[in-house]
Amino acid sequence: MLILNRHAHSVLFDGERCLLPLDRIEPHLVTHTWAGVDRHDPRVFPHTSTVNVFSDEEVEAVCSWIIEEHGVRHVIALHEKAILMAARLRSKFGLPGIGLPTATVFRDKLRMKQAAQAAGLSVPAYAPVDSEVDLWRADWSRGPKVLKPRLGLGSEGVAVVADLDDALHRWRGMGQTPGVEQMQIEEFVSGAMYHCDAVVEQGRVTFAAVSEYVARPGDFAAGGMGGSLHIATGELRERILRLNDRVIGALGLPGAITHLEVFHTARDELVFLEIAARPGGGGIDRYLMRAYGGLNIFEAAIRLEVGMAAFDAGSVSLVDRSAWGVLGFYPGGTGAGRGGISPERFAEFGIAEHKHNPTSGGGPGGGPRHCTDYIDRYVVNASDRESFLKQTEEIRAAYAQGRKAEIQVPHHIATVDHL
Amino acid sequence: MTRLVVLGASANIAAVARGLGCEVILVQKPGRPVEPMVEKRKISHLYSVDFTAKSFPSFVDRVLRVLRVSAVVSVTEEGLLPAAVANEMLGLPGSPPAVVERLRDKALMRQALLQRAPGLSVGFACPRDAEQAARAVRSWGADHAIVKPRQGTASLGVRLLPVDALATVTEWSDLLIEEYVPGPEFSAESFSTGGRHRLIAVAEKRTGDGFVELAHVVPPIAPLDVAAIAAGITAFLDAVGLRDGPAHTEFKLAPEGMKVIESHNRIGGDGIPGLVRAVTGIDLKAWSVGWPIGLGAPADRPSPTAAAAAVAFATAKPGTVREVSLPQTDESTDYLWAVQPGDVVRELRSSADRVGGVAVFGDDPGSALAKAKSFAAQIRVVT
Repeated sequence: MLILNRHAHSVLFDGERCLLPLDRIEPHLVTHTWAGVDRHDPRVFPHTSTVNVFSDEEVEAVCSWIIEEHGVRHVIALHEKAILMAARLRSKFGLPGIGLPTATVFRDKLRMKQAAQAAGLSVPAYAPVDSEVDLWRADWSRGPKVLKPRLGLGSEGVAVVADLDDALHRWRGMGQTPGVEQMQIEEFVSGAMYHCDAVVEQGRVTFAAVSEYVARPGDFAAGGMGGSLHIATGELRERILRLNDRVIGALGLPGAITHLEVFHTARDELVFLEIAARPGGGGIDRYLMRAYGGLNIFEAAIRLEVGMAAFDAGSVSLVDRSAWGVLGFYPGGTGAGRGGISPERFAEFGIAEHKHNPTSGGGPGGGPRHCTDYIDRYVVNASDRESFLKQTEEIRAAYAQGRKAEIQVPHHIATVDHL
Repeated sequence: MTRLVVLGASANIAAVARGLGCEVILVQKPGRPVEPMVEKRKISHLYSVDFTAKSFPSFVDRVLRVLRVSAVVSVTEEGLLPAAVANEMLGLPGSPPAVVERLRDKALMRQALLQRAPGLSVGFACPRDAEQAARAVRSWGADHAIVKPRQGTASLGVRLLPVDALATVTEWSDLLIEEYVPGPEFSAESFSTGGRHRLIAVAEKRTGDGFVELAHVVPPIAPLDVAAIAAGITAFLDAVGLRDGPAHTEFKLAPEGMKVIESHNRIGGDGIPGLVRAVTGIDLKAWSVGWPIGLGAPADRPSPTAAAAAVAFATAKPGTVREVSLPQTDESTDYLWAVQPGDVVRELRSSADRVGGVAVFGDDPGSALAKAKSFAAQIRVVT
């Protein structure tokens, strides 16, 4: 099996347990050096290459060689940025799994919306942007719009533009960047944002969980906070699950883990935003694991890729109806030090896990590069939604206080992924 | 950007390569450590590829060619031929595979000497069986012969056998026999550029009862005619066709002159480059890694830091290490290493079976060697 990894190496583990079925596969790992080989064990991954993941030419060359030389039968990518390459390799070598045509629909926000719209789903008004003329053509009387890369992820490169002047200013700024990606513009939708994380097996959704974003991913900024809260019950949850089924059916997906995002407007409308054919990031897997009795969506993705059932037991169910979620703090900002919450206070705030990511940052002002580029991430539990939101504010305040006090988190805490 | 590929690098060689200021691409055998070899938070290439396998040329063609690399180098024995093959495939500078093969295969090396510099060689043969071997030894007027693998290194499998004992050898397919030359053994560390050979230093070696090297000292204690050795090395390297890069040539001094034992187109092992650097100021590691891309060459006037330098090694009885005690060294010590409790010590058959070592600098080779040997003797390994 070829594993094309752009996450930290720890994504392949649950604590010390490797998520790969090592008794069934010989892993060939193609990764990077931004935490991509942290705590790498050559006995587990004797075939490992660290490559320039920004060069498709290089990645394709080395992966192609590995596939042919070692008789690789499965290619897996858990990160959005590797999805297309994995699909291209599958198509090129006739390997099972999502091929290039399907993967493109799940990656290209324009084609994704076209497919969803064709299936009768509500999507924000959108249009491709290939030149300034396309910006002039947009209907600016309908309010602000969102300018974003068609193949973007993690809200990277996304800009909310108030009017044509703003849009032109942003566009010209991007135009100065060589190799700027294909762009699209869409109507700005106000409202709460939700995500639905699902398992699709043989074209059928066999598991799905709905969560609410604590903050809109597009608003990520230095020193800010993001996160999600699992929604265990309710009519809105049921509606989002139905929408998720329709989108997956419309886009045609044989088997994969998906991450769908949707707006819930003030008019009680659900507006489909986008869907990815990979596990959601930013710690979603960690709280789903708590709520669903050991479900690991990354492990499920790997199992599906090698032709196994997503779960050992065949299915999973909700075992904890309390409010589970994740809160993440972005690097940078005005506070001194890296901030943090003393481990002694974890119980007080319902913090079940903490992960510190020393490789976060690198964006403007030392801030995040994308919406899950957290420097500190906490899996949080509360009795219900209201308590969770109250704890969120308390954690936010404590984190800010820790930032000011420059709390030095003990080394063993800082390097342990999961408590 | 200049891109240098290093096959089978140690952490030290990887650091040396990066110190040259070029982009470094490591090709390591599968199962070798990855994390300590790469540079974190930047693009840092490392490929787990068995560069000794038949599939390596396809990796060169399909991956290294795409990377538009500038040169492929190795300072390990098993990486020399793959590096040469890669350079030839990609049209890059480097010693041709035929030259590397001639140095790796001692029979080919002897044949080349026989044709072009017979005075530097000794009697040799590649017998099919013990009887043929015995006939060859007797034809030299000798009663003993060296029996060694044609492509061995690190003294592994080298034996001095009486002619009567040759019958105990049952498999001859990859063996070579050579005339035994008594006396001390030396190594010449040289560097060649465009066919011009420069003798950088000569090291004198000490062995134990067998052929495993237990100490080296630079410069030699024995009085040597350096000009004659330089001439011999030049003749030898010309004979085997080496025009560029380092060479580590082991030789002995017979009454009729210099006799080449073996040679490799790489720097010497056993810490010899460190001894050479101290005594000559020339960094053979950097030069060896960087020469194909025009980097790493020594300054016009290198600055030695010591008049003499020596390294000596410790040995121990086979078994699992239970206890290790180290000597109290002094400021003349460059480095000290030893096995750890739990390591397994094997019978002393090759350099890899040694259990510790210490390198020192000194004012003269005699005292440097004596001190290194004294410290090494105090590395006590209980098995």
